[in-house]
Parts: sequence; structure tokens; C-alpha cells
Amino acid sequence: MEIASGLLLGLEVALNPTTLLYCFIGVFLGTLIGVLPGIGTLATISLLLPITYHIPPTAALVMLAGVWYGAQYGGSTASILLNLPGTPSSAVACLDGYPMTKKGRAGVALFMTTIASFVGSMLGLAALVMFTPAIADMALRFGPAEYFSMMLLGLIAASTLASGAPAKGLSMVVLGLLLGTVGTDVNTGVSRFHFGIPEMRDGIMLVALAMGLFGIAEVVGSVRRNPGAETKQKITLRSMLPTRADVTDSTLPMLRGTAIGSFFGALPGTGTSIAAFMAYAAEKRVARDPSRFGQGAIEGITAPEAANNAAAQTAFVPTLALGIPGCATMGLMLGALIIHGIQPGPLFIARQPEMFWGLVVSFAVGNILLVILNLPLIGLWISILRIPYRLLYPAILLFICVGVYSVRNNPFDLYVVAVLGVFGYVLSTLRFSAAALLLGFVLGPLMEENLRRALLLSRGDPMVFVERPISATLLACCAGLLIWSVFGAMRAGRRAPQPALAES
Amino acid sequence: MRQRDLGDILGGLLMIVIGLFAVWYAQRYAFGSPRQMGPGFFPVVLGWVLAGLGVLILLPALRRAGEPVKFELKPLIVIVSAVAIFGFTLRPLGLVLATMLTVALAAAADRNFSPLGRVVLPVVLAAMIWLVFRVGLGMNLPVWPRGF
Repeated sequence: MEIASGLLLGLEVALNPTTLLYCFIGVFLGTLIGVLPGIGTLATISLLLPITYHIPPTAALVMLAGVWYGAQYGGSTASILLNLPGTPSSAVACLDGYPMTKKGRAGVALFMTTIASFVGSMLGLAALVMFTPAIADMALRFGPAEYFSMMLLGLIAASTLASGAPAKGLSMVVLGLLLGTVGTDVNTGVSRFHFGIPEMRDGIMLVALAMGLFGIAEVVGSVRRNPGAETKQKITLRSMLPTRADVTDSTLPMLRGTAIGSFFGALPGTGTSIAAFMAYAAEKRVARDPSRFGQGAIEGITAPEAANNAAAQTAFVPTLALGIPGCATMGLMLGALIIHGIQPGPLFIARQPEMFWGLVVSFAVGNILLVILNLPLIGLWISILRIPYRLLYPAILLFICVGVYSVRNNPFDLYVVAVLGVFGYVLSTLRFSAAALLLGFVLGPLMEENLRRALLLSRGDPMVFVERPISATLLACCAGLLIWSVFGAMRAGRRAPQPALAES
Repeated sequence: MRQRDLGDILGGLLMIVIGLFAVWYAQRYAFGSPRQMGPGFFPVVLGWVLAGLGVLILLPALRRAGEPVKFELKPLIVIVSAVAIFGFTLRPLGLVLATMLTVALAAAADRNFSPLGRVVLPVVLAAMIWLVFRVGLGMNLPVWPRGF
């Protein structure tokens, strides 16, 4: 009953013309940048962040979320047609999608991935609706010690699971936390690390950091690569029609992919790419004839596409239920909410029901829009693949400049972006993950505050973190993850030098 | 020649330097006690942790081959100075001229532009930016040079 009334409330919010417009802008841009291999979701959401200052918070989040899940739809297009993943999470779609193109079945592949994306998204959304309120209820009993341990676990998971070098991932998280301490300390009013510059007393702006790390660094990194691509594929609507076998062969894999994706999406640190790879591996394992994979097996694209789209939806669960983002993109969403003075947490659904339910329904609306955008308009996206990067990056750069300036009408912020851009480019050439840094930056102030509060309540006794059972369990998970990743790195380190030696 | 992972050596050193700098700089803030933490507590602890991780990145890299580091200085300088130029010129020259200057400079990062493209693109983008931000979103931006 509660869900029904919630959905009704959400329908009212989502069908409001302003929300609908920003939902459309979001999914449109999401598909666009998903299709284009040179531009990522993090960079696009960073670019749009300044605009969220000028529109209502619900519309802002609807738009940013639209970019996020829309990119999951568009990402597979370039994978299938060019063997070039548009987004990291659609890299798996290359494995069987490109062979399908070579066999002249590109149309079917595009059609089926869109259907799989839709199925995965809608079921993932259902999981979001079921689990978010339950988890939020549970979290109501959490104290500062539990919050601190949970954020620690999230940060460790996010920095060690995805990368091959745990120490580098962790160092980025710590650097992010450190950058988060710049500016006025809320507890004592002391302003830290301001170096005598008055603007720095407000801290580093999230917008400037995101633009520098993802916008500028990405433009600099891509200028010389020029990914304007050639494709001669002509996709007619008729060629998109799947055979009966395509549909029956995909039904169960889509459902399995959705289940896998929903699970990994909600966990911190795993996210859409790992979900897609897991779903692909699972299909290969259960298949009667695994040798078909890699040669255009339809399950090889539908299961991972369902998985990464389901994961894109359930990634919102920890963000909306606990206020703790599991990946950098969710960190930016949280940042957008904080900009509007909304701090998500266990009370979010109770205090802002129209926003929570509005988001849920608008995700459903956005997914329907995406099917419309992706099926009849596929020709448009394919022609967009031909735009050379040299026409795009000056526009991206301008967007960064005007966007950053518009937040405070202060040219100083542009110089901050320039400096952070140099720093971001250095980090990316040294293969450090700027996404982990951003996550640390967003969670930094929250972590410090919960740490202080927990220790204040326990009169300075650090045992509080291990005496409370939930906190102790979370910390045990942290320790387990650290040990596991150290062993993993040691094994990889012992194996790595051999191929290098063989080459020389 | 001995194999070294130059990227991680530099990266590890960078983390050590930043970490130690944070520890040193945060000495001016009260450290406090665990019960009543001062503003210096969190930064100092983080600084030490960062420096420690830097050592963990640096040490294995000394005895391991790594991929070469590709650093492209020219596009970096061009793009970053384009951003700075925008900040410098927006208030005195207004949105339209600042935009055209920035685009003209940014286009220098790519050799494949035709001379016509170098002229047309700034004009087109200036119009687009004006439409989106000034007209569409109604942002308060100076459009023309001061005094007009």
C-alpha cells in the first residue's frame, strides 16, 4: 500500500513538465556520450553540475541520473559497431557484439541490447524500490561509530576492488579525504589549508574539483587521440528484427544478468563494469556450448547489458538509503543534493517523499524514453559516431569555463580548475584513479564528523568501533578486504615481471 | 639495465611529498586528543597514512618493470592556459570575446584544423554558449566588453 501511494506521488512529480524536460535532456545526453567513446559519464556529470545550481533539486538529480543510466544504453552501440566500448561497463558487449556485426547481424544486436537494457533497468528499479526503504529503516539505529565504519568499508572497497594496485587506489582515497579538509572546520571554526587566500576558506568547490579532474584531464588526454570513427554500417529497422530463437535464448540470461547486476550494483566499489563481467562469466559457465561465446552468441550481449543497467539502478540504493555513495558518479549525485542543502540518509524517504518517489518514477519514464531514443533513432547515434573529437573538445572546454564561473561569479574558481586540471592530468598519466579521489573528497567531511562524534560519545575510547557489533562486523570486512587485496597484489607482482623480461 | 617502474616511483614520491607536507603544514592547528579532537587531528593522521601508502607504492616499483609514462606537455599547456585566459578576460571583455579567444587558443592543440575551421568554430561556439547560458538558463554573465 505504501508503495502504491508512493508511486502515485512520484507520478505527479515525474510528469511535471520541468522534471520531464530535464529527464529528457538527461537521457538524451546520456545516450549521446555513451555512444561517443571519448567522453565519459563522470566528465559529463561534472560538466552539468553547475547547471544544477539554477534548477530545482529534483529536476537536477533526475537529469544527472538520466545521464548515468542513459550512458549504459548508448555504451553498447559503439561496442557492437566498432569494437570500441563507449563506456567501460559496455566493454563486455564487444566480445560477442562485434562478431555479430561482422556476421551482418548488427541490427539484431542493437535491438536486443536495448531490450535487455530496458528489462535490466526496470527490474533493477523494482529492487531499488523494495530495498531502499528497508535498508533506511535498519540504518535508523546506526550511530556515528557505525556510520564511520560503513564509510571506511565503502572507501576501501571502492579503491581496492576495481583496480589492480590497491595501494594506489587507497592513496587516492586518502588524498581525497585530505582535500576535503580544506576550508573551515565545522566543529571549531578554524579554517584549514587556506594558504592565506580568502576564497580557499570556503574549501575546494566540488564543481571545480570534478571539472579539473575529469573535464580538463580528459580533454587533454583525448586531444591527440582523435576518436572520430568510420563506420559504414547501415541499420534499417527491418534488419533489427530478432528471430524467435534470439528472443527465447535471451530471456533467462537477461533475468540472470539482472539478478547479478542488481546485487553488485548495490555493493560499494563493484558497480556496473564488474556486474557486466560477472554476468558474462556466469552465462559462459551455464551455457551448454561455451565455445559459442566470442563468436556472436546473443546471451553474450543481453546478459551483461541487463546486468550493467540493473546495477546502474541499484547503485542508488546506498546513496539514497544511507547517504553513502558507492562510486564516484554517485558521489557527484550526493554532491548535487548537498549543494541544494539536502543531506540524504535514513530519514531521506520520510522527509522528502516527493523527491524519492519522483526520482523512482522518473527513472521509469527515462527508461521508456531511452527505448524510444535507441530504437527508431539508432541511425542518428551512428552518424554521431563520425563527429571528430576536434570539433567537440573546444565546446566541452567552454562548457567547463562558463559552468565553473557561473557558480559563484568569481574568476578565481577558473584558476583553481586550471591547477586541478594539471594535477588531474599528472595523476592520470601516472595511472592513479581520480574517481577514488573524488569519492574520498565527498565523504571526507562526513567521515571526520562521525569519527569525532563517535569518539566524543565514548569519551575518547577507540574501542567503541569494535564493541558495537555492526561496526565491528564492518571493520572486519575492511580488514578482510585489505588482506585479500595485499595478497592479490603480491601474487600479481610476482607474476608481472616475467612477460616484461621475455620481451626484452 | 635494471628494470624500474618509473610511473609508480614518481607516483609514490608524489604521495610521500604531499603527505609529509600536510603533516608539516597542519602542525599550526591544534591536534587535540581523541576525545576532543582539534582541527589538526584528521589532516595529520591522513598525512601520515598518505606518506605511508606512498612508500608502499614506491618500494615495489624500484624492482619491477613498468609501462612507460606518456606525458603530453603541449596539449596540457594549451588547454590549461585556455581556461586561465577565459578567467582573465571574461570580466573585462565579456562572454562573446572571451569565448572566441578561448576557442581559438584551444584549437591550437590540434593540428588538423583547417584555417576556415579556426575562424568559424569560435564564432559558432560563442553563439551557442550565449544561447545556452545567457538566454536558456538566464545566467547573469557579462556579454560585451565593459562600457558598452
